[in-house]
This record gives sequence, C-alpha cells and structure tokens, in this order.
Amino acid sequence: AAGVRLDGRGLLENREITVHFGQDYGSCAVSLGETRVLAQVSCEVVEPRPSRPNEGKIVTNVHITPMAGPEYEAGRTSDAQDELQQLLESNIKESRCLDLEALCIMAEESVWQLRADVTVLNACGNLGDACNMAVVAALKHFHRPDITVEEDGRVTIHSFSEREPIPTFLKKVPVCLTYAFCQQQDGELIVFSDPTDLEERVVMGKLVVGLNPHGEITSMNFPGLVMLDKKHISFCIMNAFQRARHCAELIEKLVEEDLQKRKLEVHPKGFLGKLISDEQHKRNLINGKVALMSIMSSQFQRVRDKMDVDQNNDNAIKHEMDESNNHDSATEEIDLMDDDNDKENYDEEQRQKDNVEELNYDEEKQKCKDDEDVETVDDDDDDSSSTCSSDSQFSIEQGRSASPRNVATDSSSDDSSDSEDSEEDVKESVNVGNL
Amino acid sequence: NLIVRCDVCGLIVIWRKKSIESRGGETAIRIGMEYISETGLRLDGRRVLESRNIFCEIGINPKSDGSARFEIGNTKCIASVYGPREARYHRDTIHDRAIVKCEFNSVHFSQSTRTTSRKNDRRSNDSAEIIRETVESVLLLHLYPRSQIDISVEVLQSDGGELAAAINCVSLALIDSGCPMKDFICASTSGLIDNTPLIDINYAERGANGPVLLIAALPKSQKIITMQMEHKLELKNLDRCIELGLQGVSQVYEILQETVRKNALQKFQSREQLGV
Repeated sequence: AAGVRLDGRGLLENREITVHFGQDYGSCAVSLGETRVLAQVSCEVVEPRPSRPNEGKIVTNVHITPMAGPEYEAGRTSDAQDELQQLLESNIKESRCLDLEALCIMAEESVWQLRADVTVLNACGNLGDACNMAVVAALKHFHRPDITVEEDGRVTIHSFSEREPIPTFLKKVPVCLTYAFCQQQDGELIVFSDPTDLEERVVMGKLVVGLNPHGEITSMNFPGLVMLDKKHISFCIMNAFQRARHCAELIEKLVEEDLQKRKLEVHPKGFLGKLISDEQHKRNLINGKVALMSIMSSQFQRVRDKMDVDQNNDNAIKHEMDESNNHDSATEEIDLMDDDNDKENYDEEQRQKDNVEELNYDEEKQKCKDDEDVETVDDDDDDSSSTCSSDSQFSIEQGRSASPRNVATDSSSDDSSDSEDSEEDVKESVNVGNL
Repeated sequence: NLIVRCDVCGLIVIWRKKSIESRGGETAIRIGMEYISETGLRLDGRRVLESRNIFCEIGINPKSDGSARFEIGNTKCIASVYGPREARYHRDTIHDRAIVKCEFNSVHFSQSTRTTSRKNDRRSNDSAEIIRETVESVLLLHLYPRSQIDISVEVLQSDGGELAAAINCVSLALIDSGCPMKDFICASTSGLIDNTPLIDINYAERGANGPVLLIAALPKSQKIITMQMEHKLELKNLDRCIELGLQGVSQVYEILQETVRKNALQKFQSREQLGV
C-alpha cells in the first residue's frame, strides 16, 4: 500500500542480478532473484541465406520445461514460450545488435551460424528480462574458433589450444525490461517493474520494452488487457531508458570479470562450472572408442579360441543365418540360445560377416546378457543396421551403460570413460541439491 | 533523379541521390527510393497525415451472429463472430466470465505471390492472440459466465496494416453481434521514414525498414489497449509516433461510427415497415 511490495522492494526496484559462467565460452546462467535461466551459445559453419550471402546467421531458441514450474506442460509449446521466442527474435535478431557481416567466412559459400539456446531452469516471474540478459551475456562471453580458408574453399577450424579464439562483437547491447500494471478501485494505475511470479498472476497487464543504451527501442510489446494513457507509456519508457544503461554496464562488467579470471585459469564455481565442457566431451568420446577397440580385440581372441572347439555348432548356425535375412528370425535364433558359449559363437559369426563397426553391438549384448530380455538387445541390433556410424553407436552404448549400472561392472576397461561421466552426473546432482 | 516504373506493381518510383560517401579513395553514391517527395506526397499520392480510403460494411454473413467487412486502401478483410454461446469444451470455461477464441487467417492469394499452405504458422497465431487480448479487455465478459465467443478473421488482400484492419473489422463484427462493449476498438499503424512520421503504413512503405507501430485504442477516451512495434525506433521519436497512431485511430473511428449508425438506422426502418 505504501509503495512497498511483498518482498520489500519499491515499485520500480529490480531484483538482484547474478551471472555465473561455465567452462565453455558462451555458457552462462543468469539469476534474477529466484528466476534462473541458462543460455548456451554455440557455432557452426553453414551456407548463408541466398538473399544475404555475406552475412552470418543467428538462431535463438527457448525451452521451457516443467522443471521451470508446474504450470508448464511437457512437450507442448506454451504461450509463454512463444512470447519469449518472439521477444528474443526481435531484440537480438531484428535489432541487428550483432555484427553479422563479421561472421562471414567466404561470401555465398560459408558463414558462421551462432545458435543461442536458452533453458528456463526456474520460472519465478519476469522470464523475458532474464532470457534476454542471459543471451546477451552469453553472446558477449562467447568466443568462436579461428579458421583458415584454403584456396579451394575448404575451411579448417582450429581448436582453442591451437589458436586464440575470436570474441564476438556486440555493437549495441539490447536490454529488456518488463513493467506490470495494476488498476486500483479508484481508477489509479500502479506501475511496477520486474514482477515476481505471484505478482504476475494478479497483475492486469504487462509492457515489455527492449531498449539499448543508445536510445533505440528494439521491441515494444503491449498486448491488451489493460488500457493505458499515453503518459503512462511515456513514463515507463523513460524509466526503462535510464535503467537500460545501468543494466548494460552491469552485464559488460560481469563478462569482463569472468574473461579475466579465465585468463588466470581460475576454475569457474557453481554447478555450471561442473558441466562438462565441449573439449572434455570430445576427449571422452575418443578415449571411449580407444578403450572399446582394446576390449574388442581381446574378446575376439577369446572367441576365436572357443571356435576351434565348437566347430559343428558354428556351421549349423551359419547355415540357418544364411537362410533368413530379416532380423525377426535372428531374434528367434537368439531366443533359442541359452548357452553363453553358443551366444559367443554366434557373435563370432556375426563378426566374420559384418564389418568391424558392428562389433560394438555385440559388446552390448555381452554386457547386458545378465540383465534384460533378449528382445531389447535385438532392438539395438535393428538400430545398428540402420545407422552404421560409430558415433551413434557409441552414444547409445553410453546411454545403455548409464542405466544398468550393475552390468557396467562386466567390462572393466570401459568404465574408465563411463564412470568419469557418471561421476560428473553425481557431482552435478549433488551441487544442484546444494544450490 | 531517376524515374523508374516498377514492373511488378506499376508504381512510378523516384530514386533520389541520398548521399555521397567516400571511403578509402572510392566514392559511392547511395541512392534510395523516395518514399516522400519534396512536395510532401507519398508513393500513392497521400499526404503524410492521411490514412488510406476506408470502406466498411456490416452484416455480410447472414449465418453468423455478427459479421463485417473492412477495407483500408488495398487491404481487405472480413470477420465473423459467433456468440456468446455455450462453450465447446467444458474444461475451457471460466466460472464467472466468458472466454474468447480467436482465429486469424490470411488466404493464400492475399499477397502478390501465392503462399503455400501453413495452417498454424507463428505469425497468424501471434496476430490471433493479440486480437483476442485486445477484445477481452473491452468486452463485458462478466455478463456471460461459462460461455464462449468465437471470432474468425480472414484477410482477403494484404497491402500493409492487416492486423490493424483485422482489429477494426472485429470491432464492427462484435457490434453487429450485439456483444456489450465499453467502446469501439479502433486501430491504426504509424511509422517513420526518412525522419518523417507517417500515418497508415502500406506494404511498399514497410519495405523501407523503418519502425512501424500498431496502436489499438478506445477512441473516446484515447486509452491505448494494444501496442506493437516492428524494427527499431529511436526514443526521441516515440512520442510523435504514438500521437500519430492515436490520430489515425480517430480517423478510423469517424468512419466506423458512421457505418454503424447507418446500419442501425436501416434496421430500425425495416422494423417499422414490418409494423413492429
């Protein structure tokens, strides 16, 4: 009543803003009071749009899952999500705050596409401001890898350890501010900024303004529900302009601080710092594959010895395999085999016929043979025939080894990479709990 | 100056030398299309503060409870209102007021190139949401609890300002249907090209990539219900643009009021003839 809100703030006071950065460049989480939003910027080389051949691209994406709050449904794009998408598009894409021509590698052939993915972790009011801030901070923090272009047009992307990455240049920092309106009985209109969750529910209308400190309004959205006089709108926008400068400076300062810390190789704190970085993930994949190869060669040796013993069995199975080509009959084959030995021999047969890459799936079968039905193993079998790239196989394996943890003890050397990730998962969950 | 006739739309366009830049020894002459001539005329011959010609008609769809047609320049749209009536799905109803469902659709032949079928694209959904929220604040929904009002808008021809035309059209259709409202809802666009604020932006002027502001307001009290902006606008021009938007709203209001009055008069006269 006396101009003080539920949480003790004044009418035009903002909540506290904190920004945490992660291990990768371009990963940051912004907290606006209780509202938490995570943004990650990544880049890839693509063909430019034919109408703009010398401009890079930027794509923004917002995800709101039930994690943010029980009122959001899983899988369905809610109104809030559409609104946020629209907001980010107009504030960041259409306002041209990013110098897109600097992202061009070779005109009409290859340009960088920046992709900003925003996930709402906790929705406690004023998602628009938080998402916008997160994307802006992430963009400012992001560094893209250095490249060399050969004469024939091939582009080589250098890793961060080879060459210094290049920062992105934001010409004007877009800031978004939300004002909410409440109408009292006597017709007086109360204006307050940065509504919390509870306030948003009772409020009658919102005005969302996107500004940059240079005095340009990048987006202004005022969907119906409340009737305003011109003077109210002017007042809000003047106030927004004053705060925009302050906000933009804050973000710049925080980003600079973190980049300085990074130079001194200070490890980022918080749960975001525990998230596995891009480089680490790639290294894990390679380590995993190397470990896998060593297992395969040892298994191969073991089975070959057994094969010398059970020659007749092999021939019988081989014959039946030749007759039927579809996987259904192969299912029946495996169903009939309870004997471990026979199964290994069957695997041996497979190996002899198929190429080396499919060996990964036999690994799967051996690992999971204690556990579930053979049916599920056959699902993997089907998958392997459709996608033969080792990447996908390995990722499915990772997924499988994550869930039946007791079975993972079967193959010991694989655990080196798996357990690392599972440790990471455990640490993550612990830290989220602490948060 | 270069005078060119556009092949597509037949407009005569004047390209004027805008500026001469020299950078690194090279001189570049930047030319741009002349949206406002020296005499203050726009591309289609209007003045800076003039809206396009407006034509509207009420009661075109006999089946619906209320319907209207609204044309502003070359932008034409029709709207139909069904309601207030019993809600389709019980779970959607609210115990103390009516709900409003709105659908906004552009026909495939509304623009110069035929658009491929996209039933639920984001643009249409956004526009529908805006119309719904605008209308919800003006209708007296508390008089019809647990009911539903359906609004359906089709844009037949688009030449800039479709959403504004749609809002005007919906306002007329609601009046025709007899839903109690606080006031007319009138909408208009305003924009800024070459540092000159304009009223009622058409399609060609939108191509200038200047800011376009859509304002929907209650004309009597000049209270703004909805405001939407495209592209960037400088702070110092904001006031002027909003003012012009409200001026455009008044211009539309005159015509809408005239039409409704004529329509009401016709209805009364036809009743008199029947001896009722």
